Amino acid sequence: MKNKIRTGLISFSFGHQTDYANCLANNKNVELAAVVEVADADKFARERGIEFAKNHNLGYYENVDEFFEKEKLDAVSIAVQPEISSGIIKKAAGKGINIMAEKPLSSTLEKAYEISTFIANAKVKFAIGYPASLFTQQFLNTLESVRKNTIGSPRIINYTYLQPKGEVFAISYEDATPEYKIKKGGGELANFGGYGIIPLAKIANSKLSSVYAEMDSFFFDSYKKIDMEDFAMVTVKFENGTLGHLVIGRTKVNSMPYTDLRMEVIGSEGVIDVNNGMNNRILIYEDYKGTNKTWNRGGYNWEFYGPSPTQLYVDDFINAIIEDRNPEIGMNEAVLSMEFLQAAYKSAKEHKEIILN
Amino acid sequence: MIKTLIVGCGGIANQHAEGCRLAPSAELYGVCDLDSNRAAAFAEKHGTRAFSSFDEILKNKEIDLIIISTPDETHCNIAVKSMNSGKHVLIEKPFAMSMDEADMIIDTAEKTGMKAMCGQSLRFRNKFLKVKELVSSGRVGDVKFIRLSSPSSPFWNKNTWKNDPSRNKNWLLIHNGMHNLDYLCWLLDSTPERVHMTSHKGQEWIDINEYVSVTIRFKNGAVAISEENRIMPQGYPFHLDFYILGTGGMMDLSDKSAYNMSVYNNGAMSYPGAFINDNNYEHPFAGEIEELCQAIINDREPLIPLKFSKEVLKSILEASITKG
Repeated sequence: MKNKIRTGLISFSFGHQTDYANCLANNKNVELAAVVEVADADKFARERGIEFAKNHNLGYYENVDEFFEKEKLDAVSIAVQPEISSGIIKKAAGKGINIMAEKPLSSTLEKAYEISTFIANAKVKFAIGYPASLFTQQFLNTLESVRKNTIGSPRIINYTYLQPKGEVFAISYEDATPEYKIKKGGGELANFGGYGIIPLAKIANSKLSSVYAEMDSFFFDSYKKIDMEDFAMVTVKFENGTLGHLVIGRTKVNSMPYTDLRMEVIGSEGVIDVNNGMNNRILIYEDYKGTNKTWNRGGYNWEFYGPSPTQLYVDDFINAIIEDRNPEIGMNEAVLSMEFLQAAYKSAKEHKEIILN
Repeated sequence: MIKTLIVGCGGIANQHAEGCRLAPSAELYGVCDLDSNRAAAFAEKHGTRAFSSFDEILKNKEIDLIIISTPDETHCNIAVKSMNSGKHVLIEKPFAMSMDEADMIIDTAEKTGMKAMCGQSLRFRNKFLKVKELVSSGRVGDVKFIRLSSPSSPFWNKNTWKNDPSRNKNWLLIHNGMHNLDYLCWLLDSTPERVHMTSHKGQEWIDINEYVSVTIRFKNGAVAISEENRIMPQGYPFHLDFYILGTGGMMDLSDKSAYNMSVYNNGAMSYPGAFINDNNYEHPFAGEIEELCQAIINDREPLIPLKFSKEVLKSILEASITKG
C-alpha cells in the first residue's frame, strides 16, 4: 500500500481512545482523518475529542453516519460502550474499513460470535484493545522465544496480574450497585482476565479446552457489597495438553510501585521467567513532589523508555493492514477472552471444571 | 537422650542422620536396611550401628524412637509394628497411603501411648518459621492467597525408578504434596474445603505425572495453589516460589527475587543435592526430630498431631484421584 492509512477516531467516551489516538498520530504510516462522537457520550468525552481534533487539524462530527459518508477511511479506532459497539463495528466493516476496537468486544458472547462472523465475511483486519496482554517488550520476547522453539513445547504457564493501590481505582462503596456489576460484566477478572488468557493462548498455540476458577471479594468492602470479585485464581487447559494458571486481581498492596505482572513458561527443553512483565522502566529514587498522599511512595518513581505496549499494539494493527495479515491480537483473541470469562464465572459458581466445546 | 534408629537408608535418610546428630536430645543409635551392604555403608558414613533385620530392631529395648524413611507403601506396617513394640515413631511423609492406614496408625498410637508424628521439615526451616510468625501476627492482614512451589528438574532416571502399572499416576502428589499442604494448613490455621488437581507428564518413559498442581479453597475462604514440579530442565536450580497475599500487604519469598546463592548440578538434581542456600543455620530435620524428642520427654502431644496430618492426607488423596 503506497498511501498512508487514513484513520478515523470513533468516540472518546470509553476506554483508552486518547492513548490509541496519540499512538496512531505517532505512526508514520497513518494519516489521521477525523473524529466523531456518539450520541450518549458525556461532555468530558466530547471535550477530549474536540481538543484532539483541534490539536491535529481534524474534522469533527457528531453523527456516525455522516462521518462514514463524508470521510474516505481505511481504518477506524472505535472506543464505545460494548452495548453499542456491535452496530458501529458492522457499519465500518460493511464499508470495508479495518477496525481497532476497545475491549470488550461486546456485552454478550452471542453478540461476539455474531460480530466475529460479520468481520470474517467482510474480510477486514480487526484488532481488539488488549495492548498489555502481549505488547510489553518482555512478553513479545517470550512469544518470539517460544516460536523459535527455544524452550521446546510449552507445558505449564504461570501468569500473575495483580494491580496494587486498589483504593485509587476501585469502585467506591456508594457507587457499588448491582447495576454497576451487570454493566461491567463482572469484577477484576472481567477487567484483566483477557490480559492473561491471550498471551497464554498465544504461547500454548492451541485452543482452550477447560477452565476451573476460584474467585472472591477479598480486599474491598465495595466489592463484597455486590458480590463482585477482586481476586481470581484460574486454571486452564489447552487442547494440546498445555496447562495455565492465572492469578488476577486488584489488591491493597500500596507500597508495590506498579502492577505485579509476571509469567513463567515451563517448556520441554527450557524455562522462561518473566519476573517483571513491564520493566522498560528506569527506577528513580527521589523525594516525592506531588500532593496526592495515595501516590506517595516515599520517593520511588520511574520513567518509561522505549515504545509503550499501546504503541506496539497500534503499530501491529497498521502493519497488519500494510502486510495483509491478521493483527496479533485480533478477533480470535477477542472471542477467546469472552469465552474464557464466561467459563470462569460459571466454574466459580458451580465449583467445577468447565469443558469448552 | 532419646536413642533413635533410622529404618531405610535411601536418600532422605542422610538428612535424618544429620538431624539426629544436631538435635540436642537425640542420639543416633543405628540404621537398618534390608540391604545389609547399604546399611553397613550408611552406618560407617555416619559412625553408627548397622542392622538388616527389622525384627531384631523391634526386640531391642534400648531403642526409643524409630525414624521411618522407607518406601511410602511400607510406612504403615513399620509404624504399627514399631509402636506395638514400645517405640515412638517419626514417619516420613506421606505417613500413610490411605485413610484406613491413617486410622490404623492413629489407633495404634492411642492404644499404645506411643508418640507418633509425620515428618514435616518445612515447618522447621527458619524462613518458613518466620513466615508463620509474621502471618500469625497479622503482618499482611488476613492471608487470602498463597502460591507455593519448589520446581526442580527430574528426580528420577531409569536407574533409580521402576515403573509399576498399579501406581496412581499422580503419585507425586501423594509422595510429596503433604509437605506443602501441611505447611499451608498450618500457616492459614485452616483445612481444605475443596481441591482441584491438574497434572502434566514429564519424562516420556516414566509412568507418573512429574508435574501436579492443586488449587485449594480453604474453609477460612483463602485460596492457594501448590505445585509439585519435577519437569524443569536438567540443571535448573531447585528453588522456592512462595508468594503470600493478604488484605494488608504481600510477602514475596521467591528465591528468584532475592539474593540467594544457587548451586547448579550437572545433570538431574541428585537428592538432597542442589538446594538454594537460604542461610539456614538450623537444620530442619534436626528441628522435627528434636520436637518429637521433646514430646516424648515431656509426655505431651507432638507439634503436628496425627489427626491433623490425617486431614492433610485426606485432601491430598482426594486431589490425586480427581480428574485433572
